[in-house]
Amino acid sequence: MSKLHKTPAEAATAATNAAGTNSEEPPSAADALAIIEEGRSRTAAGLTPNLVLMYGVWGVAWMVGFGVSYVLSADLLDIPPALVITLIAATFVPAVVISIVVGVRSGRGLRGPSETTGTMYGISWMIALTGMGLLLGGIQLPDDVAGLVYPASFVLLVGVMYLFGGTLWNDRLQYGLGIWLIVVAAMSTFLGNPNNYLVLAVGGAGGLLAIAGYHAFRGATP
Amino acid sequence: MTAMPELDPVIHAQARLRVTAALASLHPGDRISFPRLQELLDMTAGNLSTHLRKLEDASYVEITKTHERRTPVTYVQLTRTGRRAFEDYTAAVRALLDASITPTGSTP
Repeated sequence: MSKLHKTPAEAATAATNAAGTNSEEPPSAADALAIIEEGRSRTAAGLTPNLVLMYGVWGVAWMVGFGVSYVLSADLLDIPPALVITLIAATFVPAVVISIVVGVRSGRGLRGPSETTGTMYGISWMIALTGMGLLLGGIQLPDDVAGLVYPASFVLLVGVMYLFGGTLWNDRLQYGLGIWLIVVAAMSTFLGNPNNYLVLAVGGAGGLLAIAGYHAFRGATP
Repeated sequence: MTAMPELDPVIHAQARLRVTAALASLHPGDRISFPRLQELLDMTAGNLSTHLRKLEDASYVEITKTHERRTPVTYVQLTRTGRRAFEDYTAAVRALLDASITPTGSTP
């Protein structure tokens, strides 16, 4: 029975060896557990989207977007409009593309309830954001009010989407981020221009980057 | 020797255990394409299909062949029997390890 006792390192090696070819060999009990764990974590890691990238690109885009808005509305710097558009396009376009590609790729080759859930959730983002854009587009708000309402509405909607995502995947961290973004969005309108942008940049973008950092720190394991 | 739990010979082989563990970590009802499973497990196509056939013979795995945009695709999923067999196997391995750690449980 002494064969059953393996150090974690030996068990890990056994799991790696099992990845090799014709392993018809029955593993020892300790190896078997290591192999089960390796199979489980590989599958989970392979099927989970890269969360560091997902949260990271949006954190950067928001930081740039709200940061530039703050600088402009606080009259801190005179940024030429062409540069503003370039900066925003250079962060938001990749963020949209990357999140779609990463989201779709993670579910590749998978069919069944999980795939349906993932697809419906992805489409929900587009429906919700488009609806909010149209709703706000239909109202002629004075500039100062628009500057408070527009960004806060989108951040609140994103917060709601994270509540929804956290609920679907039983992800408490994502749910917590949703609550946080709703608080930040609501708080921003109380502060008025231009400080609302500062709150959205630090709290909103900062929140996304903190979650990206957390996932980076935890490594590939979801 | 105390009564040792019988380990399911279908699962109790390194490669098939990896395949079964990976399939068991999918949500019940989800199917995965053969190439994606091959990529996740880093196994050759020949090796993976050999082991899948053995699992299919034991009714542990269900293999569905279909067409997507006129390309044939094979999907794999664990059957209810397969999932239960994997759970029993895991429990048996745990029991074996516990028995080997408890002094009274392991007579050489």
